[in-house]
Amino acid sequence: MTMAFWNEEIETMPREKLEEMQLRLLRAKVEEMYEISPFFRGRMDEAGVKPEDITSFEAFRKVPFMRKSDLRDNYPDKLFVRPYDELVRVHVSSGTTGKPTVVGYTRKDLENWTESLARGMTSFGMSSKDMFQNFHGYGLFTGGLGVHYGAEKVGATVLPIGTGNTERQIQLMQDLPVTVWAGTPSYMFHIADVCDQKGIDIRKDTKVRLAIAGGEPWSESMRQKLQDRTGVRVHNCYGASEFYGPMFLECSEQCGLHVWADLCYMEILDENGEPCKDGERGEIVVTMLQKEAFPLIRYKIGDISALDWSPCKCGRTHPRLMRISGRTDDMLVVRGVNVFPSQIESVIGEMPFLSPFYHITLNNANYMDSMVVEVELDEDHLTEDMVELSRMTRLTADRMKSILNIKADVRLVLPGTLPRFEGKASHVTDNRSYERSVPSHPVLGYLEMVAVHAARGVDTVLLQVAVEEYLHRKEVLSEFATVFGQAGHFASVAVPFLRLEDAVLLQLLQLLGHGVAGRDGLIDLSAGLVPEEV
Amino acid sequence: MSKIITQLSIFVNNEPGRLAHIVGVLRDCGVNMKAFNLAESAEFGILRAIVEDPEDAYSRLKAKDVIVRKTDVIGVVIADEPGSIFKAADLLGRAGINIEYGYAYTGRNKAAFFLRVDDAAKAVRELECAGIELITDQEI
Repeated sequence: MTMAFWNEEIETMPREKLEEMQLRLLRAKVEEMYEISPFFRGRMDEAGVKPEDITSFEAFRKVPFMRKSDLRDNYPDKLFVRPYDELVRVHVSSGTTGKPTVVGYTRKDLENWTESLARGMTSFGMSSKDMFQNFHGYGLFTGGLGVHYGAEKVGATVLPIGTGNTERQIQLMQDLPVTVWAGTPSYMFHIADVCDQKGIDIRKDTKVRLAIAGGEPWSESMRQKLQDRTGVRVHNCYGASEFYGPMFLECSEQCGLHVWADLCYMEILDENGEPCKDGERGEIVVTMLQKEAFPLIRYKIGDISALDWSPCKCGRTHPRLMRISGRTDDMLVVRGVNVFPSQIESVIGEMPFLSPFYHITLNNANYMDSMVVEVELDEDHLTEDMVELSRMTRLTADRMKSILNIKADVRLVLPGTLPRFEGKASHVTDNRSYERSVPSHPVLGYLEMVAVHAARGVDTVLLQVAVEEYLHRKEVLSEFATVFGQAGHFASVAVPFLRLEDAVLLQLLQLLGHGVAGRDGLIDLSAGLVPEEV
Repeated sequence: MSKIITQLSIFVNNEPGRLAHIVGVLRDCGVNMKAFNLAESAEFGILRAIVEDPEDAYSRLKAKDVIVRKTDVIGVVIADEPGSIFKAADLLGRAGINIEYGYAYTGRNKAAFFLRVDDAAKAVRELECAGIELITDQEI
């Protein structure tokens, strides 16, 4: 496939030249920072490293790391090296212990951020011919405005609709010639679900063909499923507000995110701090080469992945970052929001009626993350007053929402109820699966197997065979009827299937719901099941 | 002899078999319930009980690691006729005393309505002034 470049000279520069440029920019940045950043100079002096020592990438590894705790300790703006006069914007993201991270941008910073996204967007085929529907939230979050300006830069027509109001999102993507989406993968699944429920075929009823998905962990199989369901080619996205915001995108080859080497020097380090080989997984360490207001030098973002310098079929020479496979700390990403158990601990600490014992459970039924926080009540503050108990629950939930920026289902439990463990990891049970949801009931498991079987062919004969096969299992049918016998229950049974597959499942379930009577007449989508809105 | 009755509130987790477990402990401790009521929050239940010798029962349950609280309630004696609760409830309402919850008790000699109010001492004064009979701990 021939593909346009946004900045061909840079994007196709040979690796040696890129690395030459990186080293030059690294040295310049270190020298500049040593001069103007008391924080950085302090760190360098402590480590006994001078800017003139930085003569190679190897020597650069002597420069001390920056961590999230440094951002917290220097809240709100002590790490800015430019006065507010020169800043044109700030963004604020959630931090580790209730204190957010404030990121400042000069005009040049915004230009580089936008340049990075414009290159990425061009690399998967987006252009001025496209209309770009932005599901990301606008405001303090970097996602919304970041991709907004990137899309405008490549000349696309931006529909700045932001998060939520799915009905309107779907209406507009049909009424307007929208061709590209940006948002979280889970929201795209939600869009697909609601379209199914409304009988809208994204392939036929919209012009959407491309998407950028990011902001939360997701897998390759999730991408396949999303693409199969929607017919939209979905491209991964990586970034963080500390960098600028969302920054790196996959090209149309979908084989990793191009990390623009003139903007970012990315190291992948093993447990001993030694560089990993090409393609080997390790901790990501980021140095922003041209960032002005709030520079990052050897910043440990906490993500684990691998970098691959081997040539990409698209012709771009910049290394590709593989999917993020884990974290070096206990950070959780819930609905695209970073959540640290320490934030939850800080809220618990504020509430005199709570004990320090808590447990977080994460689920993603239907690809929508949900978080349950169980906290033990303090024995001395335990009351039998129900009104008081619900007030305590509400107070805790409201406070968590304001600190975490997402809703947690707070449950206050009796003292001594939660398991006692040592160590941090056991505070969290992550039941989320990035593959497929598994129905809890064996009958559902069987149904799903049949349905997947049928859906794969999307072939009525096969579907009929599958249904025949199912109906012959009388004992299963009667069990199914017992468990989900009432029409009212069918709606709730149908929903998880709809999220997994397409309308074929609805048809199948409907057929089963109407029993043998439906065998010949088969499918009537208009009758019966009305799946619930999330 | 007191007109303020000590009620035990026993906290029970919301899971199958927990009530059986708790009443088993009550049996093992030799605690006899005269009246009780079950309330539930989202995460756990509360067994509120009027028992013989609440102080003794309280320490026995504590010794068994049962989560238990003592709370004050009052018992309005009720006649077996329409309107017998009205008089007491109306009076408390006029006196600005809030009733949080209540449950009934039918003893050998008297029937009573146990009430949890926000100010038990004031409630006792108001009800006695109005000539409404309150059950004493001795009578239960």
